[in-house]
Amino acid sequence: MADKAGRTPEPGVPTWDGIARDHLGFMYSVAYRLAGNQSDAEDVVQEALLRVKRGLESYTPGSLQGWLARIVTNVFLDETRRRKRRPQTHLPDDPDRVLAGAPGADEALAMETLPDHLQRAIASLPEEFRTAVVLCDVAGLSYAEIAEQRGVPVGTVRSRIHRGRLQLREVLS
Amino acid sequence: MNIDDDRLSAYLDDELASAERDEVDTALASDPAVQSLLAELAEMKAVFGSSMIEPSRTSINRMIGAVERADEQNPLAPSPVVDSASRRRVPTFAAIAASVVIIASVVGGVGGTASIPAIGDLVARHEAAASVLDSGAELAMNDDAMHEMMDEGPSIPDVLDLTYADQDGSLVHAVFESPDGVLLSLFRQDGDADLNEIGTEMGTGEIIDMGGHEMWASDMGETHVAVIDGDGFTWTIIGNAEADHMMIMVSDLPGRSPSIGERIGDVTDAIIRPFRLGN
Repeated sequence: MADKAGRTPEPGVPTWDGIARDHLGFMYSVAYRLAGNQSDAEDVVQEALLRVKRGLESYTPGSLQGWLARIVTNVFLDETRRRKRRPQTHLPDDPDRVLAGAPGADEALAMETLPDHLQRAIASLPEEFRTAVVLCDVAGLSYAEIAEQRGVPVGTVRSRIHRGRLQLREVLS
Repeated sequence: MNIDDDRLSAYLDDELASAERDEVDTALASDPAVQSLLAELAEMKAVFGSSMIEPSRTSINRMIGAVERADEQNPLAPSPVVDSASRRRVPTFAAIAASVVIIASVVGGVGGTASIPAIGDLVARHEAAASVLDSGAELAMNDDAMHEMMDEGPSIPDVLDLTYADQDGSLVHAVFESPDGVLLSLFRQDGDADLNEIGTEMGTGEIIDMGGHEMWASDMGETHVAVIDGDGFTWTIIGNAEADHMMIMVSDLPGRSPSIGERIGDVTDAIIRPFRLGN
């Protein structure tokens, strides 16, 4: 039976290939909303995929997208905390990282799917508001799921989502 | 009902109990301003949630390629904490604190024949070791015992209990016991100090950037100790250059100070797995 967000619990434990094939777009979409740009979103998804690949055994059959959204969000928040703690250093030891800043034609097209003004508005939200709204509106998690994931009361989630939407409304108006 | 009333968003998300939903319905029926605000919130919800962003094929290939390369290079490495809620609870084992440098001493080995010292004896050893550490000297690692443990590889006991923990200033003492032996550990907890600072303080470490995760590493003869800052968790790796396997502990107990005798295995995780050396 699908939950209220329309997500259907998946039978059994998913495979890595299946997740990479069927859910990478979902993970990227969540990551992009959180991170605000393609390069950072890719980094988040990449790390999240690695955690998924190595942590599949910990998956309990249920909402696969909820589980994936949780991992993506945790990676994003880990990265955010890391950047706050110390200056960012980039070592060009990975050719893929070096190339990440030079998107090809198809990437430019993909980036156009979210207008700049909208992405800027989303990025302007405080992290806790943005995370709550993304988990609700993009990942489709319930308030209870978000509260459990973020370790805050449901009432806090409710407040953050509402204030996040109000702030987005103000910025876009 | 004013603009700050978060019941409106909850109404939109179908997250209200029936009584509250009835209240919102009543307000909507009588107040055009509430109707207007609800419509705007619905628009924001749609704006936020409707535009799925599809990565390009190039981007997909790059991400999957990077993951597969990372996994090939280190196929047996444990997953970093997948998430705190659904993480599999590894049988009780504990490590302590983010931003920690471990200087470990293996007492009696984990090979199966050592008797477990009494707690009082362990405390005395800890205190002695702590005084050494406080003086700025490093503890010598028991290479033989470490070798024995490393040689055990996959059969390293996967059930370890933290049976003693104490904190004295920046020093955290911990004793891990298994059916086969005792691992005596001293941690230096430096609060929010990052690994650069800790490494400098220790004087023998080398800071290595591992794709954004900094690692403090030190060689003590054939034995290596490494601490990787995993953001919200810490990997402590103890290994031996001549052994195939390393011991890895993953902890996620930032800023928490255990009390004497407190069993903290239920709030932190660690994973011990064989970990093939990269070189």
